[in-house]
Amino acid sequence: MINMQNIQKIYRTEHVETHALSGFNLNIGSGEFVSLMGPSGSGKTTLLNVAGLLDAFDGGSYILDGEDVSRLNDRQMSRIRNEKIGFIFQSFNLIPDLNVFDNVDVPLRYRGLAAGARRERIEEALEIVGLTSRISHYPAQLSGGQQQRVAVARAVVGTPKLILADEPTGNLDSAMANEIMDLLEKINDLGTTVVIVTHDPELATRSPRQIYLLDGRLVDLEKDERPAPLYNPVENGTADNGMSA
Amino acid sequence: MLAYQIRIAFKSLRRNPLQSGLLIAGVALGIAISTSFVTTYYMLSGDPIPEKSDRLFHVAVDSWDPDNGWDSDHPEYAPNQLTYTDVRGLMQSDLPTYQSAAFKAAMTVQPEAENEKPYREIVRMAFSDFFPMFNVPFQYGTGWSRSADEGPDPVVVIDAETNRKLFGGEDSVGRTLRLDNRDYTVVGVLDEWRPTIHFYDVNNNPFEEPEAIYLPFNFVEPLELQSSGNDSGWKFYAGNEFQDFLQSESVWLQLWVQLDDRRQQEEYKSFLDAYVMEQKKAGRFQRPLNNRIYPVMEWLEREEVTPDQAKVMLIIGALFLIVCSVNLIGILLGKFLARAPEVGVRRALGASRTSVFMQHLVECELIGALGGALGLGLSVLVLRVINRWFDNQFQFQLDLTMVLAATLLALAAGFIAGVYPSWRICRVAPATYLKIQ
Amino acid sequence: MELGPIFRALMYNKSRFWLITLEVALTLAIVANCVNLLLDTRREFLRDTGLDEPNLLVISTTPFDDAFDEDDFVHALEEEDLRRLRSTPGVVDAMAIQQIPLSGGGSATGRRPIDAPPESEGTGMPYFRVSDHALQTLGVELTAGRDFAEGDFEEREEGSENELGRNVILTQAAADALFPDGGAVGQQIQNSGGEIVDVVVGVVRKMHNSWPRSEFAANGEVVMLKPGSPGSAERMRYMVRSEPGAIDSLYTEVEALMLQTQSGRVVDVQTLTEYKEDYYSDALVMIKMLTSVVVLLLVVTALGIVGLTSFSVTQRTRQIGTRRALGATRTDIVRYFLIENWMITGIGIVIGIVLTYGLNYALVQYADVPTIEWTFLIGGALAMWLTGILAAVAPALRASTVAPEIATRSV
Repeated sequence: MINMQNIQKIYRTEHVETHALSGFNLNIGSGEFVSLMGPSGSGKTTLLNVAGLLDAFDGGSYILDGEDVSRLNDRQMSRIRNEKIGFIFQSFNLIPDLNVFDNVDVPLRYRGLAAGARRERIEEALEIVGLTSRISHYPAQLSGGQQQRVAVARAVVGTPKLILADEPTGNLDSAMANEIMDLLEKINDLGTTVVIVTHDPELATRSPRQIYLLDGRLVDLEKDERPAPLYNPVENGTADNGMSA
Repeated sequence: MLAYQIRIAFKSLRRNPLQSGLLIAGVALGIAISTSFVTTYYMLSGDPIPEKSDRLFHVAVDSWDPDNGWDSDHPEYAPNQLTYTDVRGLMQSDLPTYQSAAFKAAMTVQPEAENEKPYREIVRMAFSDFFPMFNVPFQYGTGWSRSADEGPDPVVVIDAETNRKLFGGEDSVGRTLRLDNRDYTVVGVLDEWRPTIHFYDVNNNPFEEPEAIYLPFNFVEPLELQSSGNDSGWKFYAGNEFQDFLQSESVWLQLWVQLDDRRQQEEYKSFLDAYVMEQKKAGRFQRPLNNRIYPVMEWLEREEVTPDQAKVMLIIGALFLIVCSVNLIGILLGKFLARAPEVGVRRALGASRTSVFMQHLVECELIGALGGALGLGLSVLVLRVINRWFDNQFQFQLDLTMVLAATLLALAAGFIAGVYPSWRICRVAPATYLKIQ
Repeated sequence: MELGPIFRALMYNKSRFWLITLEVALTLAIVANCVNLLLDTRREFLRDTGLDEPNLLVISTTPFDDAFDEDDFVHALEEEDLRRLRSTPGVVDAMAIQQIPLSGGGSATGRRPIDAPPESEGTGMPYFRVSDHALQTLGVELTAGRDFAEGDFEEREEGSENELGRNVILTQAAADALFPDGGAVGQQIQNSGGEIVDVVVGVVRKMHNSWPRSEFAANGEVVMLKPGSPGSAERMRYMVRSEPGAIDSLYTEVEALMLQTQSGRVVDVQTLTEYKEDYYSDALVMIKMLTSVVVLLLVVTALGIVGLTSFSVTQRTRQIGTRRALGATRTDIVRYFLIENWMITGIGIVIGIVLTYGLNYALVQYADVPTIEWTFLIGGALAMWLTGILAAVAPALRASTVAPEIATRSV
C-alpha cells in the first residue's frame, strides 16, 4: 500500500535547515494495521503529512497503492486524498457549522456523487460507528468520543484503501479511546489498511505491527521486543481555536 | 479604573494600527457625511432669528378672488402677499411695537468714480422699523428715523459689500449714493449680515442673500417702482398708469409686525378683522373673513421653505451613518473574537464577565471618540466642498450645537456598534483555552 | 454544487450572515434611492426644452437714463438694437422678450375658451411678450396655423374694442389644456374677467416657460407667445441665436455693441444655459452630493464585506485545512467562499429590495421625490451583487492558500 524509498523532507527557515526525514524508507502492505510511535519532534507528523499527501517532500519516491505520487500537482493530490485516503485527526476537525450528516458528507461532495448514493453511504458509515441517531446533531452537541466516531465515519465514508489516524485517541479518555480502537480494528478487518500515530503504548500493543520513529529514522519492532518508553507519553498540546459560532 | 481601561484600550488599538485606522476612518466617514448633511438641513430649516421669532408675525388677509381660493390645495390659506391699498390701511395701526411693509426692486447704482461702470442692484424698499424689528446689525450709523419714512427723505442704508465696493469700506455715513439718476445720503452701513433663510421675503429664492441697498418705502410712488419679486393678480384692472396698478387687487408686498405679548396679538387681530369688515362694506374682501398672523417658523412652514432635497439628504446622511455602524459591528466582532484565547486566559486569571465587557466597550467608545473627532474635522472639509458647489451662495458651517450633536452621535455609534461584539467576547468561557479540546 | 451544506452552515453561524446581509440590504436601499433621485433630477435637467438651447444668448439691459421713460424712445431703440444684432456676423436671428425661459423668473396669467362657462376654472398661462422673429430665434417648431405676421405686432388704438387682445401662438401643451378635443387654431381665448380676448393663430410643438421645474402649467410646457413690444423703461431684454460655435465670441462682443448703440443702461450678457444652470443649481449640487454618497457607500460596504469575509476565513483556517485534507482542491475552496458570499449578498439584496421600496415610500411621503423605477432597482441590485463578488474574491483566494497540513497541527 505504502512504499517509500529514500524520502527527504527538509524544513527551511531563513537561517536553519531541519532534516525532518532523511533517506527514509517505509513499506506497509495492503490490509496491515500499523502503529507509529516516537517522541515529540521525531517526525511522526511529518511522516503522516507526507504519507497522506498533505505536504510535499523534497526527494525520494513514494508509491501509494501502486501509483507513483512523487510528482503530482495539487489537483491530483487532492483527488488521491479524497479517493484513497481517510483521515482521522487528534482534535477531530469536525466542521462546527455542519451537522453530523453534512460533516460525513464533506469528502463525498468533492467526488460528485448523486444525492441518493451519498445518503446511502453516509447512513452506512454512521451505522458502522453507531451514530445513526445523532444524524442531525451539531459537533458542539456531541461528546468527544462521539465526535471522533463521526470523524471515523467521515474517514470511511468514501471507502478509502488507507486510513491515516493522527493521535485519534489523544483527546479522549481510555474508555472512549478503546471504543475508537475497536472501530479501527473493525474497519481493518474489512480490508482497509490502517496506520495510526499514537503516544499510548497500551493502544499500540493492539496493532500487529508497531513502528518506532526516532530522529526521522525507523525502528520496526516486534510485539515482544517492545522497549520501555523513552519519551513522555503525555505530550502536551495547545488547543485549536474552537471559537466558531 | 476607567483611566486604566482607556490605557489598555489605547494599547489594543496600537497593536494593529491598520485595522484600528480603518475602524476610526469608518466612524469618521460616517460622522462627516451625516454631520454635514444634517448641518445643511439644520441651516436650511432652522430658526433664522431665534431670539424673537415667536414675536414677529407675517400678516395675511384674504383679499383674493371670491370664486377661487389662493391655493386650491389649502383653501384656508390667504394670499402670501398684500395689496398696496391694504398695506397703506394696515400701516395706520399704532398697535405693533414695530411694523414694516417691504418689497424688493431693481435699481441701477451709478458710482461716483468715472471709470466705474453703473450696475444693477436689488434694493429693498422698507420702513424704518425694518432694521430694529429684524435685529439688523450696523457697522456704521443706523437706520433712518420714522420721520424720514414720512418725507420720504432721500436716505439710504447699504450693506458692507456695497460699502467696500463704492467707498472702500470706510465710514461712509453722510456720503452720497446715486441710484437711477437720483442722489441719496448714506445714513447707515450694515455689518456682515447673512441669515441663511431670507425669511422676511421667501417669495423667490428663500435662501438668497439680504439685499445690498435699503430705501424708504414711500419712494414707491414718486419713483413708480415695481416689484422685482412676485406680483400676483386675479382681477383685471383698466388703465396703464402706475396709480392704476397701485389701486389694483395685485398682491406684491410683505407686511411684518412685532407683537410682544398675547394681549397685543389679540388686539392686532381684532384690528385686522375690523379693517377687513370695513373694506367689505366698500365691496372688497368678498371671501369669508380669513385673517391670520403667522410667527416666523409657522410662516416658513406654510410657504414650504425647506427644500425637499435637504430633507432627502438628511435621511440619506442618517442612513449612511447606520451602514457605517453595521460595518463597525462586523469588524469589531472579528477583532474581538480573534482575541478570544487571550481573553480566556484573563478570564481564568479572574477577570469577571462585566470587566471584560466594560473593557471592550471602552475600546469601542475610544474608537467612536477618535472617529468622531476626525469626522468633525472631515465634515468641515465636506461642508467647504458643498459651499463651493453652491458657489458660496450658502455659508454652511458647524456651530456648537452641531459639534455637540456630532460628538454624541459618534459616541452613540461606538456604543451601539460595540455592545454586541463586547457581549460576545465577554461570554468566552475561561476554561476553553486552557485545556486541549 | 454544495449549496445545501453552505446554506445550512450559514444559518448555523448567524452573526456574520446577518451583518453582511443587513449591510447589503441597507446599502442597496440607499444606493437605489439615490440613483433614482439623481437620474430623475438629471433627466429633468436634460429634458427637451423645445428651444435651441446651446446656441441662445440672453442680453438683459437695465436703463437708468431718464430718456428711457419715453415709450417711443424705448420702442425705437428696441428696433435699432434688433437691427444691429441681426446684422452681426455669427448671429442667426434675434428677438426682444420680456422674461427669460428656463430662468425661474417669468410672468403668468390665466386664459379660458371664450365659450367656457364663467364659473369654470381657467388655465394658468405663463406667457412671453415677444418681438418679431420669435420662433426663428428660439428655434421652436411651428406645427399648426401660422407664424406671427407684420400686423400682429401693432398696438391697437387706445379705446378701441378689445384693445388688449392679440393674435397669439400657443405651445401644444397649452392648446391641449384649453382645447382637449383639438382644433385650437382660430379659437378665441379670454382672461377671467373677459376684458382681454386673444385669437390663437398658431401652435408650436414644444417650448418651456420660465418654471420647467414646477408642476405648474404642465411641468413648464404651457406657454403663450404674445406679440408686442416687450421693452420698458424698467428693462429691455433680447435673445440672440448664434450660429453653432459662434456663441463664445458673440458673448464677449454684444455688450460693447449694445452700449455703442445707446449708453445709459447696464448690460448683462449670459447664455441661456447659464440661466438654466442657475435655476437648477440646487438640483445640480444635489446630484454631486448623491453621487459622492453612492460612491462612498459602495466603498464602505465593499470594505465591510472584505473585512467580514477575511475574518471568517481566518476563523475557519482549520476547517479549510480539513476540507483540503479530505480532498477539496484549491478551486473548491475558492468556490465555497464565493458561493457563500453570493448567498449572503443575494439574501441581502432580496431584503434590500423590500427596504428600497420602504425608503422610497418614506421619501415620497416626506419629501415629494419620484417613485422608484424598477430598472434602478435591478441596476442597484446588480451593482450590489458585483460589489459583493469583488469584495469576496481576495479573501476567497487567501482561503485557497491554506495548506492541508494545517489539519494535523495541534495548535
